[in-house]
Amino acid sequence: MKSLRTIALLLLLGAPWFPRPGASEPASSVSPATEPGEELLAGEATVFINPENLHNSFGHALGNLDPSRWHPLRDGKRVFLMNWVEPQADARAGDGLGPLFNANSCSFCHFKDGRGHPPEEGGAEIPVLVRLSVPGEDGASLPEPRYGWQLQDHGVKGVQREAKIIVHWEQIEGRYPDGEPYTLRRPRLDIQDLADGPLAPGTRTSIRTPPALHGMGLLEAIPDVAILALADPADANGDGISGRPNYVPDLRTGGKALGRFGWKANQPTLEQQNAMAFQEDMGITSDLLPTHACGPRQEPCLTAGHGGQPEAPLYELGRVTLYTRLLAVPARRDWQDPTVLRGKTLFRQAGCESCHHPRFETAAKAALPELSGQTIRPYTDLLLHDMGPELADGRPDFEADGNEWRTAPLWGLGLLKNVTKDARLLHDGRARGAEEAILWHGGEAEAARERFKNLSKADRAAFLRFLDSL
Amino acid sequence: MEWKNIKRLLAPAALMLALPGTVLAADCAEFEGIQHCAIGNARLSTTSAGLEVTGFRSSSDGVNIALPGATSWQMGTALKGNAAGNASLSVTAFASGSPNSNMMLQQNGQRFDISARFTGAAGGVKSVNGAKTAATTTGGTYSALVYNNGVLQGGVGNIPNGARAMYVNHGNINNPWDPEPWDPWNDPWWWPWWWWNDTGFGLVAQTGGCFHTLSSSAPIVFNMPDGRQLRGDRVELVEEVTGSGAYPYLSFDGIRVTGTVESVTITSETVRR
Repeated sequence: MKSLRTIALLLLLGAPWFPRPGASEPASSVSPATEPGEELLAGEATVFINPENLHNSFGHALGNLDPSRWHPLRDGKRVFLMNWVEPQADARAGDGLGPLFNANSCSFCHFKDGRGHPPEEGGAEIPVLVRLSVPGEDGASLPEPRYGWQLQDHGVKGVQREAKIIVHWEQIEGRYPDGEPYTLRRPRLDIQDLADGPLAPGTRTSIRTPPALHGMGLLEAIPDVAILALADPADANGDGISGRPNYVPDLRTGGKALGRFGWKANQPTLEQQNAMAFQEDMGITSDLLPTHACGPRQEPCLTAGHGGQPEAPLYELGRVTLYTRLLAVPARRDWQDPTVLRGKTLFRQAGCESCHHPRFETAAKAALPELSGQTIRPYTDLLLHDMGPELADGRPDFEADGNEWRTAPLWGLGLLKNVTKDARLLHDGRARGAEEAILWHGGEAEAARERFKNLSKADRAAFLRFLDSL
Repeated sequence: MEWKNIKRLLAPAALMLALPGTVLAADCAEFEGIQHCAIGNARLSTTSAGLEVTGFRSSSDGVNIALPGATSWQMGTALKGNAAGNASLSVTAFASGSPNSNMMLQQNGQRFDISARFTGAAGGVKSVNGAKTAATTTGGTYSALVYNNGVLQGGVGNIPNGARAMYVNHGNINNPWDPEPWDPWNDPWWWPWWWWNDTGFGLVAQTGGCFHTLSSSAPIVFNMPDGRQLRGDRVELVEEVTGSGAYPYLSFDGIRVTGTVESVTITSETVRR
């Protein structure tokens, strides 16, 4: 029997339709075909969402979750949903908000574990952040001297908010080569009512919208070596795509580590990402970041009360971090649809996979075996790429320069609109869908964008159908 | 006294209780400290029996009940069906503005079908000969449990989402040995619905699964999917949650009651947060 199986395997390997390792074909000759398991974006951790429940697409537990982690996951969600309040005289769980903050809960920005509501014209209650920095002597970023790294647009009682943040939108008309018109919009940041005087000369600002949280644990489980294998900082292969790692401080180890979270890959772990969000977004201290984000001259902020030291004890930071690690990735929809398959081919032919890397194997994670050894399809390389002047914020972030952004994962892209209804893409939410996001691509991605623009209208639609299936 | 006769004696009293009272100027009203708003063609009015909802012309008419941060809710009811004997009542729970589960009562002459649909589950992945594929594309099962006077009488599990959990044959609604079926010519048309006097919804603290409840004013016979007949005065439809792939609901924000019944009178209401 064993020999029969061997013969069968050899016949299969020899069959002309079987793609042999290394036998790469030019993208244009790739025939529309499904690949085994391609709908399983997160391997065994994938979940198939009930079509009636797509509004909750991103909040499901890993499909292979060990039952023992169901209760810890729910504990983590409690912290995630908790509405933090100002420090109280009688210390209680959930007090410690502020003194300065942008939001009073994780879920305020990550609505239903998704991307949050988009900024609106002149809107006051918009979960966008404005990052600040001034250039240092060596070109690296330093915090704005009065306001720090981030503008907080809320303050607790007795502490004035730092500013009012308004985003205006400028419409930009364009046309595809075939004459089809399109409209883009560019944000114009309007910072009003600065509490402590004007921003320092040369201050760089950058609008940020919150990312969706599905699959974060799996991204964390990608081995460094697999990401670094895709890096080509000097574009040695001459394909016009570089891909650089961002090495950033790791507060747990005190050393440097590969950044993989955040729009510029400026955080190395989910724990640190969450601790930073606690500190900067909600004004809540943790053992990892034990001080409030007050500027050195913001006396009311510096002298305000606190809700414990730290305000988010280790177990609370741990709970919410576990929660974010255990969120599943929904399976693809319509992956066998001929139009979607056609779109997948066009996506490859345009060269998008050079950055939106489709496939990784996750490393062994002893503490969370569910995340281990999974074949995942996040469509990101987690590396930094020059995205051109239109998207540039001119604001370096550790080793990321002002033109560079981390490749955004595309898994779950088609479900964003189901979760938040008005999904917005790119770091500042300017793109009202995948098509606009593509049209904003520049720099290393300009050639891919032009290939997309030069497609026929039907092919562009197929391309977008593929993205919608992710 | 035979139950049939008791039913006829109680009928006028029940009708009086349900007589329309003052129609509220606004479509929203507070009852038992809880905000209620009519939707669609429905109207709210206060009566001596409670808060009455009328104007159910289509399945999108009814009442929204605001229950932010709730973990359980219970509503005493007086229900009236329609003359055609085909009324329905849907109780939908909402979390973060989206439907999270639903219980449906569908009358078809002398028969009531009871079903539920939950959203906490998701399909997983299975391996077949090394190839991984979807275990199910929708997922979701629930259990139907029957209680009598607080004592579990039995139940059936693994009922697919949306499938019927049980039915009640109105001809035997109280007495399974009563051979006389409901007579739409002689029995009041609203009568079959009058039995259902309480409904509720909540989250199971241990599992995070959701449950709907439905109670009757006296024990009745429930016909279960496995062919058993269970006699009881309360049913619980409980979402089965295993953890893997599930959605962790921690609370809900509101209830929407819709249907094609003649009226729903809310006689009491409690919420736990």
